[in-house]
Amino acid sequence: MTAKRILLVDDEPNVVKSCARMLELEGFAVQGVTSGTEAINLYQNSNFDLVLTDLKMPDADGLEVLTAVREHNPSAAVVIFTAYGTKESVVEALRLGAREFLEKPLDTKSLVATVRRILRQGDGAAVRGNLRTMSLPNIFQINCTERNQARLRLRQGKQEGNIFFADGDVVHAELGSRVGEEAVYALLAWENGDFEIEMDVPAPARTVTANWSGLLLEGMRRLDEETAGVEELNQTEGFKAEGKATGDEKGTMGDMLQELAKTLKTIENVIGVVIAARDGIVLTEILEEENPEKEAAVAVFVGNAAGVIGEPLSLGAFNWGTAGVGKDTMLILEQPDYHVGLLLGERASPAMVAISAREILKHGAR
Amino acid sequence: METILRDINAVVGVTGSFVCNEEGHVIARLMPNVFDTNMLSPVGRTIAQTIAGLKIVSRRRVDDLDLVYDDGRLIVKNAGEGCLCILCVKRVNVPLLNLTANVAVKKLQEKFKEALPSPPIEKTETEAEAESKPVKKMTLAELMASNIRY
Repeated sequence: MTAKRILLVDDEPNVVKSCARMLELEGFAVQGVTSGTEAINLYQNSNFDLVLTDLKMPDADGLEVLTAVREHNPSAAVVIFTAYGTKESVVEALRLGAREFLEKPLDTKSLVATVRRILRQGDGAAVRGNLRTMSLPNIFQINCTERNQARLRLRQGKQEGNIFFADGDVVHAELGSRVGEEAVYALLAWENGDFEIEMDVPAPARTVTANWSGLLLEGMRRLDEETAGVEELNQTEGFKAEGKATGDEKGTMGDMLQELAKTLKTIENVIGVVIAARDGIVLTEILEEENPEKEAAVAVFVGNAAGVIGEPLSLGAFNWGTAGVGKDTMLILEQPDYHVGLLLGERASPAMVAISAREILKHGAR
Repeated sequence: METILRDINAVVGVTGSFVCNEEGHVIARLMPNVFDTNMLSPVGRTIAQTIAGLKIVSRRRVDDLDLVYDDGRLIVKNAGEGCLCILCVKRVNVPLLNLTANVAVKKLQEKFKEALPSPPIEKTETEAEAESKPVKKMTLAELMASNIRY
């Protein structure tokens, strides 16, 4: 039997060498290269059963390799290696048709197992990954905006849940005895677990009527409430443990805010960040051409106005807001001591960015 | 204007709507009874101040504001000489609402062109006092200071 041919791409020669050797020992024929451009040329002139590519590479990156390979062969199987902190690229990779994502550093056993499974499956198989690599909100966004008909199967330990997408929304969900929106909210709390997306699978029922962004907002609100309860409990326990050090050795406030801004900037479709004190003073910013003072003023204006407006209308606590000026949109989030303004790209969903930003603000910078 | 507001209120998820002019006076409203003029006046004034302030800051017209809260959402559409304010549920279908709201804004702009400045509805003493404060002629620093909550 002819050995299956694998094209392996990584700009680190040692990774290519060790992975190639290991896969060859397992009986695969591996062609290893250290450049994305070289990989694209090679793929267009030879036949490969599978492409394994790193995401971040200096010349043509993993997304370019994936695009070129799938243009040449739309059913090509491509697996992407991703490092922590590149989730936005993973979303794009899924949209472009990557079959699976493996986290670096690569675990040899799981690499071989993944390769075997994908090669066994052939064409039209499901997309697989882990929620640590791609979050559920991101999976929702991509399947709903692409209007996919698909089944998302999620596994965490012995628990298994299913979410069905159709017509740009979530239409059905099940998790154990829970069905519909309650199942969606329970699944949204999963931070870890394997997922599998099978395209063109119709939903067996229609149990969800809320639109997908509303589901995410409500899911995050519930999660916030749960987390707040746990934090309160931890705080109480902390008081009981007299004299116990917190262990938090933080830098200056400026350093902390700068780190926070950097993390916020990693959210997909966020093109600029400004953090301003309540009097409009810029505390930190990551902007390109924009004037920091002006952007800070916009964030402070809207943030302060939101508080004033919400009270007489009995709207409860302010979550987030947007101000649209021409084609530019700023998302504003209020924190106890400052306002955060995020400049959004044209294709951004403010609700989605708000969900990610609130998560970051809740847990602090990575 | 009531017809315009009625069209807006017909969108699923919309609780009510009102129009305020550049000075922040509520000049038309179709809101649930629980929201009386006293409640809406500070909202109108704050919105007018914010839009005027943002215009000074960004040197461009603010097209819309979308404020999302725990228990609802307020979407503000700038119609030039006033703005359309839409109170709705948090999960309102925004693209669908925008379709109706954008048409409503055009109609409002036409109304503003046609009509002479409308008098504010049902002024209370507190409102009359508050309205004496100029909104548009404040400097950026004054606007910032007036808008800051501690």
